[in-house]
Amino acid sequence: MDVFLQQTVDGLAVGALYGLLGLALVLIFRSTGLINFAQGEFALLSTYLAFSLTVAGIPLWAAGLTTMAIGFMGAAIIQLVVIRRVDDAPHLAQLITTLALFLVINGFVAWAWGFRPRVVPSLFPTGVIRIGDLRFVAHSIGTLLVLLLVMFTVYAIFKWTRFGLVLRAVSSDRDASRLVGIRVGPMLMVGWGLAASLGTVVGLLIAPRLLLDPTMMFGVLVYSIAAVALGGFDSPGGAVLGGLIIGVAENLGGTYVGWIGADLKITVPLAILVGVLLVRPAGLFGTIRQVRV
Amino acid sequence: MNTADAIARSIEKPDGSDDVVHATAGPRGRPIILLVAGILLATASLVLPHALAGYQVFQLSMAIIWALAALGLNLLTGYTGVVSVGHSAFFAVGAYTTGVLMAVGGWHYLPALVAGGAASGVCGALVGGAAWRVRGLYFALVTFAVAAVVPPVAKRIDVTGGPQGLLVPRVRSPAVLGVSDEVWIYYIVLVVATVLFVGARNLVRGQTGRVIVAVRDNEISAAAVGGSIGRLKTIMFGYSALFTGFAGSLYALAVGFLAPDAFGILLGISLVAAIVVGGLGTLGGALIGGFVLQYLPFYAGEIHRALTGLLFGAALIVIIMFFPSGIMGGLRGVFARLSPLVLSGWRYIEGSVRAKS
Repeated sequence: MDVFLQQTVDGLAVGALYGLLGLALVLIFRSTGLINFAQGEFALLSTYLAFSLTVAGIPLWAAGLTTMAIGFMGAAIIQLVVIRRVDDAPHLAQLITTLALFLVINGFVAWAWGFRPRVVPSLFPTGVIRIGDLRFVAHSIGTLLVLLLVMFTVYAIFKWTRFGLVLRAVSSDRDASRLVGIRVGPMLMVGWGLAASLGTVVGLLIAPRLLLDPTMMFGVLVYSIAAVALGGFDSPGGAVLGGLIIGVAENLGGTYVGWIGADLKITVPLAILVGVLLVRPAGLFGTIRQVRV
Repeated sequence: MNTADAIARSIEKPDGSDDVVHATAGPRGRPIILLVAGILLATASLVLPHALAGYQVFQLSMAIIWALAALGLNLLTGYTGVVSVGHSAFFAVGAYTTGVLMAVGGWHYLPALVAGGAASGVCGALVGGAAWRVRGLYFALVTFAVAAVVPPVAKRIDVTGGPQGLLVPRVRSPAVLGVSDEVWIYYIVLVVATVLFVGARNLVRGQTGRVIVAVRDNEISAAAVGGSIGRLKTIMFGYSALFTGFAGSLYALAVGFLAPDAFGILLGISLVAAIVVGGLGTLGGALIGGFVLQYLPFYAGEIHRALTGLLFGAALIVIIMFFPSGIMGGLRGVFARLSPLVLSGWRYIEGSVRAKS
């Protein structure tokens, strides 16, 4: 029972990270109808930047906040310079553009920092937290708390600020927003920036669990994609919930199903992804779209 | 009129633009030039390996292998509009089938080669049978996940050599011929690739090809006028996987060592990049893409190993923005603009010669 609870809490912590990166994917999908394959690599780049800042002596939390800001600006610029150029292009071209960004950022990271895995310290104290007889890793609990905070902030921005209202308007109907006088371009840049900032948080919190190397985010992105598919591509809450479900499923599957073990965990999101897309392509909370000829 | 023609004719290009892909009507007007070029190319590709050093022959084989892999993906993406980021998985199926049959089963390399391509083709048809239910973007997502799963699975299974990788027995050239092993492998690669490229050409120029283009240009309309989209996509998927699988099998012969991490996401994305840079939906584009895939890392790698991805990605962005029809489209444009010039220049010379005489 102990193992079960601990694995569940640990799964929730990892799952929340998948959900958060999924949230970043949903933010962009809602405003542009595009899945940004480079989202994980954005996170990778800002994590490396934060890592370099800590090596230079800046405390980790300050480095994290700085790179969130840098990531925000970087992604906004990429939206302006690259993505906007293919805004009206067919979906195929947009998809390939995000794959190109994937290659560019991944190549840049490997070029600048090399392939050697780096150890990134945790934001939280090492050790365990005891609740009764149960012991939880402090990093997991800290991760969950940070994620609650971030999700609440995102929710608050979208729900209760005028700025959030405008962002929601742009994501629900771009042309209509333009007609009522919203400047859509800058808002899309903000959307990309926000998504990248969320990614930075994910990268910084997941790096201590894995090792920071240029391939770190490949797997994480797969989990996030599965989370988004499960929750529904246009549902922010669904993405987070999907992430939590997948995190727990992965951890329990790895613990209790013998042949999965630690190294085949990544087949869990694939199975979920394929299952959802075959049975209910819109996901649990997504909108079902119909196409007219 | 059969269904195929009906579909092909009933569908107009939705945006009314001049499509970058001319799959159905290739240039038929220059048979002699093409024949001469073909003979020259054939002679060159047969003689070339004798003029090159061993590692250069190996590189040439690899370029053709990548071209074949890209051709498989291009059949799918260029002709059905479905992006697969996970064709690295079919490549891996071909490579591992051949490799395991040779290393563990003790097979001769030729049947192992055929088995590799066939295994991949069967996998492709199976995947295609399910995949057509999942449209566009979602499909790309699934293939991305598949590409990510291949290396961990290959590391886990014992028969594929686990994390250490699989050593494939060396292919020896027959003593009668007196050529080196590299050259012998090059000839195998060349023959298989030529057969498959011709096969692909017939496939896309024929009836199936036309219906497939109709489906790509407007899937819903094609379905509305009675095309069996599911069956078509299954077939196309099977062919696509067959081609890429054969490339994987040839890779196993040429490289002789299969490392799980070589078949991951980066290979999948690189194949997409190769066909876009070369030219989507063109057979020549796959060929160009294959050579870029082989020689770009070779030259960029002299500076830094990671520079390849950076350059490749940057090239991809530039091509998507400014030359959406890729290098092949660019060449066609240049050719189309130059040929009237050359022709008028020729007439001018002809005219002045006549005037003098």
